Amino acid sequence: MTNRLQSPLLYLLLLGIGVAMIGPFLWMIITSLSSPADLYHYPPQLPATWHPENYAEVFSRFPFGTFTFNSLKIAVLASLGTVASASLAGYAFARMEFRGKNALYWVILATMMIPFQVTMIPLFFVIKTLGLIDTHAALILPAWFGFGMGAFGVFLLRQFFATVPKELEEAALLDGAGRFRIYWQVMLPLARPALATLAVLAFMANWNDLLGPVIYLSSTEKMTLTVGLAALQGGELTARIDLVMAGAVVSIIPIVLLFVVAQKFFVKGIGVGGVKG
Amino acid sequence: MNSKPNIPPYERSGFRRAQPYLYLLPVLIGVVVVTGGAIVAAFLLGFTDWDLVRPPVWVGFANFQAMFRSEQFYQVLGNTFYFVGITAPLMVVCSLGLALLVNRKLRGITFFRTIYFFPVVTSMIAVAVVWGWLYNPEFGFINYLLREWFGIQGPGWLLSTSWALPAISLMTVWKGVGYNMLIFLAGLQSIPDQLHESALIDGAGGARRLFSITLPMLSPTTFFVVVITLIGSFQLFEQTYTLTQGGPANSTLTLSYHIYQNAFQYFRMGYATAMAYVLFAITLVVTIVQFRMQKRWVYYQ
Amino acid sequence: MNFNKFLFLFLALLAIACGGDSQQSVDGKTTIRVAHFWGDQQELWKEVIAEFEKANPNIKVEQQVVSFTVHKDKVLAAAAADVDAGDLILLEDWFAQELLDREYLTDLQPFVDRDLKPDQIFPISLESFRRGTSLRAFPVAMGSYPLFFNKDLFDAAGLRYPDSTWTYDTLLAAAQKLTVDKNGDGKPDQWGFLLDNSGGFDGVLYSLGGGVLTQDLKRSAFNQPRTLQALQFWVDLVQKYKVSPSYASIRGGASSGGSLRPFETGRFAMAMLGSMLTTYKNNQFRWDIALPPSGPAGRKALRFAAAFGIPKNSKNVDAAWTFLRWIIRDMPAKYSDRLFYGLVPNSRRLALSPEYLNGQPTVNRRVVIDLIEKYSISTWRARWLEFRDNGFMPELDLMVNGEKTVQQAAADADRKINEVLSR
Repeated sequence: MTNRLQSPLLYLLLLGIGVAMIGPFLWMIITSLSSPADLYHYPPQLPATWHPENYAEVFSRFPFGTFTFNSLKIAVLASLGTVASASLAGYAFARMEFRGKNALYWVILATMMIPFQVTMIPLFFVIKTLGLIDTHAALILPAWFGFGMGAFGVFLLRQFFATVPKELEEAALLDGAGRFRIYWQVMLPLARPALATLAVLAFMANWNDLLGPVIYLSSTEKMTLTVGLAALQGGELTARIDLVMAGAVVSIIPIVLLFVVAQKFFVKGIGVGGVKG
Repeated sequence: MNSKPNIPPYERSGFRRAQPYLYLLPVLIGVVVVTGGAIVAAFLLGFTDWDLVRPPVWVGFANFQAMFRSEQFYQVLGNTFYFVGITAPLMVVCSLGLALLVNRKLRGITFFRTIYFFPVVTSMIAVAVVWGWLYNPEFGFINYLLREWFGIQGPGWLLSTSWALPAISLMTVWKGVGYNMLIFLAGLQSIPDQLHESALIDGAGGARRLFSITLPMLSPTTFFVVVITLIGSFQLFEQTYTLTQGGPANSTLTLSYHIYQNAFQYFRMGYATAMAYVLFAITLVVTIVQFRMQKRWVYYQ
Repeated sequence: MNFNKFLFLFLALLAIACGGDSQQSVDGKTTIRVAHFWGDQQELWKEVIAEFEKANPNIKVEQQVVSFTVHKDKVLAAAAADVDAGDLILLEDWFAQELLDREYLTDLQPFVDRDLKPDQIFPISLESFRRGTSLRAFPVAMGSYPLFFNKDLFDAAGLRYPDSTWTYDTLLAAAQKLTVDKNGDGKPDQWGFLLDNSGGFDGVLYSLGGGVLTQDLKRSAFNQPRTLQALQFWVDLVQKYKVSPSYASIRGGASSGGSLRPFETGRFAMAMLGSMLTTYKNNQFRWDIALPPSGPAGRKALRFAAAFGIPKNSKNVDAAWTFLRWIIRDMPAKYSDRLFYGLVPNSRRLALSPEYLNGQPTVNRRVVIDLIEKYSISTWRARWLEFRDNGFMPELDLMVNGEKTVQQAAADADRKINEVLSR
């Protein structure tokens, strides 16, 4: 269906944007493989020698395995929580009528508009009252109740459920399906791209969260990779930029992998495929 | 006993009325009760003098009075609006364009989507260092290009009081465009194929299909991105924090960063909270306006 | 998946999330937590702690390292919620001053009186941490702003290295000779001096008889004629004599260079920078440090420190002090160089040890010790960051950029500083 002549031009455009987008990341990789001395060339140039051992050094500077495990555990469980709680609420807002719907929706939206610095301390009191200080639950449990990315997710999924044709739902209702079955068997599969998007973004937010673990956790063995890598900056941001960059490369790999996997959900459902150009 | 056949017990009227709240329960507890509580607590703090270390002291409207008398506050407010005004439109247009570009079945398109998502996942430290270099007035790549290709002497970018905020805006768009592209992409993927197919059968061209099918069907997503981008732009923090710390001469000092400064560097939590309420009120009004206007252009099923 | 399965999954996940988190070690030892932000020295601290634990088997030390930027946020959040933030907390000067005024920290004076003789430490370093008769934080290392100079550039120009006879006129004359346009494009590619708005700027102001604050630290000194003259000198370095590029003077410029700290490019002959000597990783050129020049008001340089405080809510004050005391009195000298980034350890034994004085990079470290003991001043007080960041730094930017006259900018800075200080 696509004009064949369009393709090379299209690829050229895609490639051009790609270069602009990936440049800093390539620079990050190059820097992470340089020696500190190589970095002080001006203007910057490729390093004279490559230093893959920088990565080994990053791993040796803190309990890398433990921190990665903690990060994965928190990010996976918390983003599951976000998707679960936000999709339930988003469905209710999109497809149900009830008293106070508008007011509640606005309260949820409003929580996105307050800077975190201001609510941080009152929330810290809640975590303290629940006895969750220095536990991973302090970072996971709130996500199941819509904290963090919850409001964003409710809004996102409400918008998506609103685009699903009502007929699909009505057909299921006529078949005698309950609301939850419709939600589970009709709406969720249709919203797969949106759910995957939310999962990726929530994972990323949790994985990169610095202030949360810093404030709620205190034991070193419970800290996350992001905290460990940020600490590498030491007293001076610039002390060992090669190691900082090696750490940064390490920290984004899981997100990139997740993103690639999530792309599977961006392929259309069964039977309605077809190439569009 | 009063239930009709074929209607399951949980569809009885009492349950029916309660059911939506069950779906909302987790979010109700977390967001509405707890965060709402925290916001109310924070609201009270806006009327106190609190340094975080000693107990808060009630000061009435003193924080608000001080804020509205402070010349810096108005400068910061102006910077914030300026930043939002140039960033949000650029962000929405660029990410929509990018999403339309990669929403097609081409060999290797997954690869390009992944690449476009890279700035989003790249750490802010790395981004700040690279862009700091790109923006360097003397040796930076951007001014080099301007000089060699166009013969223009580029501005001082991050070092210039008039260019620093646009420079941060440009970087913000670059870093965030993949994020919104992803959301748009999900929206595009949710548009039923049948619509496009029937339009094709009707002989509609690419542009017509874009304006009569794709964009209207995508409008709920577009609406979402517009609202989220506006809210996010009002809260610009990380970029200034890593790149300019509000300088030069406070030209990149925006509300959210100023709130952070006051809360955690100047020990004025009460004042910071009062300012957060101004930010909140502005964002809320802008969002309400958006919701009011959506009837004109957003198409729901 | 039906609803029951979903519920089961949910509960199982919660169980994973909440379980397995508590690991209390109860073996009769006191455990103290040291909260610091020297993250890239964690391994070295581990070695130091191991040595300490060998000598003090009853005390276990844990490091709690978060990044420099969020360290104080954690401390403040903990203070606000009355949660334990650690037993020993590393503090920058400005942050320590705020906590000192708010009586968050334990008085260490009785411990110092009991355990340390004045000649074991540098007593001058304690001054800014006192409130009345109490001492609320103990500096473990300190620094100042010596004159960094690039030996290669001096040699190439055939100039003598800076020494204690230098005045600001000498500095200017040398800087003019060291500013060179090699490729003849009309713009220098080697600069005589690097304008830096951090503490080095304050030193120039005070040496030339002006200052940022009055001597009692209660009001701005930007209205004094001597300050105006000093500011004019500072601005002239860029605008009149053109021995320094303006971009390096601006905070945005300093940080936007990222990994590129200007002096380390080798393109600057001189700079007054903080003496965190081991962070200067360059090995592209030879360099050293000297005393900064003297001015009409003598030779003055700011003094700064890295201090440890013990919060009042700590349950292990004695053990925490024992660790601090051990660092000063007993820690092997081999750690004294890198542990504090080349700052001068607040322990004569360590500071005068060959391990410290000959540490890498090999520069004249006695200069910093001299500078601190004989010429340094302390201008630390609460609200420091505020009157600086939002008071005079923006005005300084405008001044150096040429967007405001020195008189106008100084008057505005004066008003803004006093506004902050009077609150």
